[in-house]
Amino acid sequence: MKVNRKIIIYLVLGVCAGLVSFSAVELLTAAGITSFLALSLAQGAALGFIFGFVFGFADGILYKELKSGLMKASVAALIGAITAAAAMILTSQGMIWTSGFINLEHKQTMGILLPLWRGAGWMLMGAAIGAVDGIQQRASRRTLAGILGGLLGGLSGGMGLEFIIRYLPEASLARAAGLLWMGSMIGLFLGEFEKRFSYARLRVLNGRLKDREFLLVNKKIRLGENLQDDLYLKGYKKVARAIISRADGEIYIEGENNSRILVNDQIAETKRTLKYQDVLKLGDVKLLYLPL
Amino acid sequence: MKKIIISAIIILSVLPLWSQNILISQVDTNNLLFKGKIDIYFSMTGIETAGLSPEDFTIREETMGDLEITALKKGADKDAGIDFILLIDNSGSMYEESYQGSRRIAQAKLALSSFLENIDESRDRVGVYAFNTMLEEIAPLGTKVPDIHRRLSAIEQPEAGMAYTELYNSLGEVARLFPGKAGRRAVIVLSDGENYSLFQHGGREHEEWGKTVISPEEIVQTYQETGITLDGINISDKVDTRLAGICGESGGSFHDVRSTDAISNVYTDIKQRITDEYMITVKAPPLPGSRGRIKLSYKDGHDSRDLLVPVLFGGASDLSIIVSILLLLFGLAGLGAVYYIPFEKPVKSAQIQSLESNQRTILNEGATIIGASRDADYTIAGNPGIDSEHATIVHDKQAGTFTLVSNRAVRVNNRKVKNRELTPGDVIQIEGSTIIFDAPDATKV
Repeated sequence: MKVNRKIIIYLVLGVCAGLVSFSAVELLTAAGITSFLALSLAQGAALGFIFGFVFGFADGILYKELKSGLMKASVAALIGAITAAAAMILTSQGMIWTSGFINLEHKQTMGILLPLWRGAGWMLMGAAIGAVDGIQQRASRRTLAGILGGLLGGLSGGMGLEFIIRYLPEASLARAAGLLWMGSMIGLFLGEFEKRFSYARLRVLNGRLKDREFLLVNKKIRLGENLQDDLYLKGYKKVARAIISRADGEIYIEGENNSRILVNDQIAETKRTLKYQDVLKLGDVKLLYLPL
Repeated sequence: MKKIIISAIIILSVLPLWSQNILISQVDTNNLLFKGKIDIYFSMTGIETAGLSPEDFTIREETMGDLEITALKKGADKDAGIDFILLIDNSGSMYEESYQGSRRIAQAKLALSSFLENIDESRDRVGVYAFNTMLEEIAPLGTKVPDIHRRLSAIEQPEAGMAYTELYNSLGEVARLFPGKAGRRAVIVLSDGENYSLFQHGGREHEEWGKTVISPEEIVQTYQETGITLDGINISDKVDTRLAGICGESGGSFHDVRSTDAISNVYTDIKQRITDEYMITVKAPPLPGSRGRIKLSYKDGHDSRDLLVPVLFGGASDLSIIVSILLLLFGLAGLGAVYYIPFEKPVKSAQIQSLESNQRTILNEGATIIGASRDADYTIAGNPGIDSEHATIVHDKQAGTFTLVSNRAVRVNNRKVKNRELTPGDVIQIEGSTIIFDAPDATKV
């Protein structure tokens, strides 16, 4: 799968997450929760849980790994629920706090400030959702890419909501449109920022994953045949585990635990620098290294 | 006689205020999120307040209806400090002699000094501003009292061009100088005349306010909305007829002060107003929008204020639960559909593929020619460095092998070769064009 196609998959997943979270938010508001705090926590946690789950399940979908995909998605959902609930409380209290500094009844001021507030709130929610994958992988660069993608996706969703709300004043329609838009934009920007933050891509040359492209974003990337590996090579009889690392502007590869890897048909016994169009052979899988 | 006329003007301008018997001074939403309650501070005038109970009041929110009142308290904030901004008229007329034989500015400074003596610096804060054509900061809010005394004495007579009296614009401007909305805020203005703006009377735009001259109605609105009270002190025989009304509607009062001693009473009056304030607490359920408006009523009197509601996604809608569940299932079905879409599959026949264009060519049973010629099986056009038949992939059906043969060295997996048996996933590089060879093999599991 080419990188741009992966972005489209993310976008579709974002739309699905937006639709599911809209339904969840509707059900929560209809549940008659009478406390601002409980409702804010529940809405934030539901949104983070759903988006965390869906984007956490992306690898499961891409590799057709239901069980391990669901396990990974569950952890992502929990992280998403916590971060998004915190973001929701922060946003809500921030709105109350900042309202102390402005004149609420000044229509022109509020006409500008309210969309800004909501936009900031949606941005924060988007950032919380976007950060989940990076947090789960404990990768700062990926977290940053996710936060930026989420910020832009959230901002876009918030602005979309403001625009839509002018034409669809009914709460449910505006909320549906805003969440769907935010979901798709978070998906789009997550994919786009992952691409922008990557320093190289690896293209699979043979076998089941032929033509799939992996973006290298993190400083250290583990390649292997487990879903927990950063770069999961599924569907080959034998996969030699390897680590790609980045230091001082150079990219290196080395076998993990003495596993036998080949670079351009030569055994790489020690850590080796990678250069343009090097062909890596890890067991049965071959990869083409394409720095960006 | 003059005194009688001035008093009559003041009484007439304050007269309409008698109908306004409730004034909300502050809506505190700081506990809205974590405790789900709103505190409303208000004062009441012209009402017998003895024996008041929560049942005597109603608080209504526009969309949610009546809210439950949980507490009513008198003097809830009596120990709260007050932020004062003292606004002193420093126009040319203030340098004329007053009826006591001294200049009015001297009388005003004395009055302010007397006022400052009453300040409790442990709780209260004071700032001083002077106005004529311009608004000038003398001492920002929070300046220590001895320092304010020193700065007051340094106020000088304005130049001739600065002799306008921008009373209304200055009143509007100082209302913005209070930080936050919490706490009690009061503006006290000392003036000897009427609003006399540069734009209206000088025929040119003001360098800060341009053509803007804030109206008394706008001042009242600003002060009411931000919970600031305005007290006015007149120190001449002239009087701005609208000022008394503005003061009254903001919850303050207007004083016609003929002696410096009387100004001390202003501080006491303001303190008393706060001591007499009530606080009513209501439960606030989640509201549908980001804004709400509450109306506090007592018998025929009422007052309203906007409030910001921290609901990012809005409140309840009319969408039925069944539709919500259907949409939920629809979203989950979408995820399921994406899960079952196959994204990649291994090749079923031997082929070469361009890295750049992804163009695929199935390999022939015998030989597959790669070259610049149109007749080649795999044509690489537009590259003069490539021969018409640059390389050939020979398929040995019996051995099941594919071998790359070339007269000139080409690169396979970044190594120069002229003859090389290919394995699935090998990368052929010919003069800048990259071709991937693949064939069904044992990598399938």
